[in-house]
Amino acid sequence: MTSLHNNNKIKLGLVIDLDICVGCHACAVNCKEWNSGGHSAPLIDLNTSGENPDGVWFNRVHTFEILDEESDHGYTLNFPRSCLHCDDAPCVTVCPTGASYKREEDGIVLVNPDTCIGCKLCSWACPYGAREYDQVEKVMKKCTLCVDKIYNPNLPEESRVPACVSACPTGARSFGDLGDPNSEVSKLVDERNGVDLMPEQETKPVNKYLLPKTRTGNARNAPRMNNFNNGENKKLNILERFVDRILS
Amino acid sequence: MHPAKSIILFTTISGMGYGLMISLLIFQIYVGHTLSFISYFLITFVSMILFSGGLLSSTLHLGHPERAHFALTQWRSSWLSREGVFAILLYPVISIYTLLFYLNPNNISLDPIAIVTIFIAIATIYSTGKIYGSLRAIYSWNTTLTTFNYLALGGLTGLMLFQTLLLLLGYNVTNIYYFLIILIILSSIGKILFWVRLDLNNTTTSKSTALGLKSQLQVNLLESPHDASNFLLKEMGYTIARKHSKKLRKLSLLFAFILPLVIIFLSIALNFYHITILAFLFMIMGVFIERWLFFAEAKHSVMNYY
Repeated sequence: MTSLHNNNKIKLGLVIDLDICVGCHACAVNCKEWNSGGHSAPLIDLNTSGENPDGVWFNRVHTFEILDEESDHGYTLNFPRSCLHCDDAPCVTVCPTGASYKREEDGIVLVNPDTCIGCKLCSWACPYGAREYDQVEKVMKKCTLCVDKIYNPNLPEESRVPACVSACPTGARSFGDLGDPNSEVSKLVDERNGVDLMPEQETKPVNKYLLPKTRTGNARNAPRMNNFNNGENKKLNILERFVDRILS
Repeated sequence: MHPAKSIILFTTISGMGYGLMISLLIFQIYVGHTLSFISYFLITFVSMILFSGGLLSSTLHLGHPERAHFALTQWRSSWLSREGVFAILLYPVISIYTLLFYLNPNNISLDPIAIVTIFIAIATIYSTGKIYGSLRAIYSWNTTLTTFNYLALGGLTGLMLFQTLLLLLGYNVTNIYYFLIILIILSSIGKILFWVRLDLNNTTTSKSTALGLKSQLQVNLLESPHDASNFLLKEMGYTIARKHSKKLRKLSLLFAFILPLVIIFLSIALNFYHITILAFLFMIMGVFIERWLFFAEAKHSVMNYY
């Protein structure tokens, strides 16, 4: 059923800390590795060593440069983008076949590859580009929150987290129940004022992002290496200026 | 958005087919059953060829056309599903009407069935418009003007074709010209408003909201996640049309509305009604350009990440 039930108490999702993400793409690569053999397998790759390689990925890491013109402060932002498992998922309600659904028990948004007709409408409805079309299997693919890993009793308990979370070397990704206000992830979101992406799209994302902390200093005006090629550098003392003049 | 030929063909051709059926049935109710059964049947046949061809073309663009019947199940939430249900529903209803009309043109139950058929045809075009109009992620489409344009252009092209077919079948109903003029004016106003709204670009979604940042920050993409293209860029990153959009809009207005209007006035003034056929041909070209632009000019919110 593609109607949303809106009463799931458990909302499994991710909290992504943009302050400590270093943009290493390990989450994206491990996601690809796990899901190439998992619930939505295979995750196709086409023309891998040719001129125009293509393929389906559930997680893509964009890197932005951010400039605050007001304070003349700039920084680099690494931004992993994946399905946010929205409470009001527009990709689910547009699906004409019921292949796209949100699980009542934990809120994970999934695609049934046996009833998907490959109309691509869900990829248009998702504001975040979380869904990618598999041109070999001719169905839509998306992040499963590693549904075949997080509940897998064959794995040690600490491994029962999505592949992207296992792989992150800086601990920028946390996984848990965002429907429970007392869970570790919910506390983290409260503490750091976690945000929704494109809140104006009214999709009510479950995944939250933690923004970079405000820097105390200003990186643009931070002390830099003295430039001794410039003889007029005011920072030189009398002796240094004298030596500089003799040598130049 | 990538302007897929199958969807452009489907939306224009099927819209025209439904418009033709609506025009024919309103004519049947309004004028009484003055058309011969053969003329009625030919027009119905053309209409059915058009919307069935459109449906077929849209089914063929699916990844799994053989599973298309699943698409009729989710009418509670999905406009695409509703469109399918209405489209299928039209066949038995119009078949009953045709059969009753064949058996007895004076059957009193004809008009109620015609009204039901008209409503289903309107609901089908409305659902098509809603598929696009309800997508919040695409600012350009997310307006009631989208549904209005689909209804107006479906009705207009259908009525234009109806008049053309009547002329070819030897009927000359000059009153239809007045309705055509009204529809041309309404459709062109709707389309111009649609473009004005598009140019205002009054969307709150931006690169900043896409990243959850405060709005005064300047955001530039430093490194893309991939250095080749991907599904998202191919499907939603279409930019060629935006470069030529102003010229194409003028061409579309000229062919879809202005030239047909001039030709209609000329055919009334000169009493030479057969040039109406030319108006129909121009209009089709104009509507194809309009529909191509509808897709090609639309910007998807995911492009804020690229």
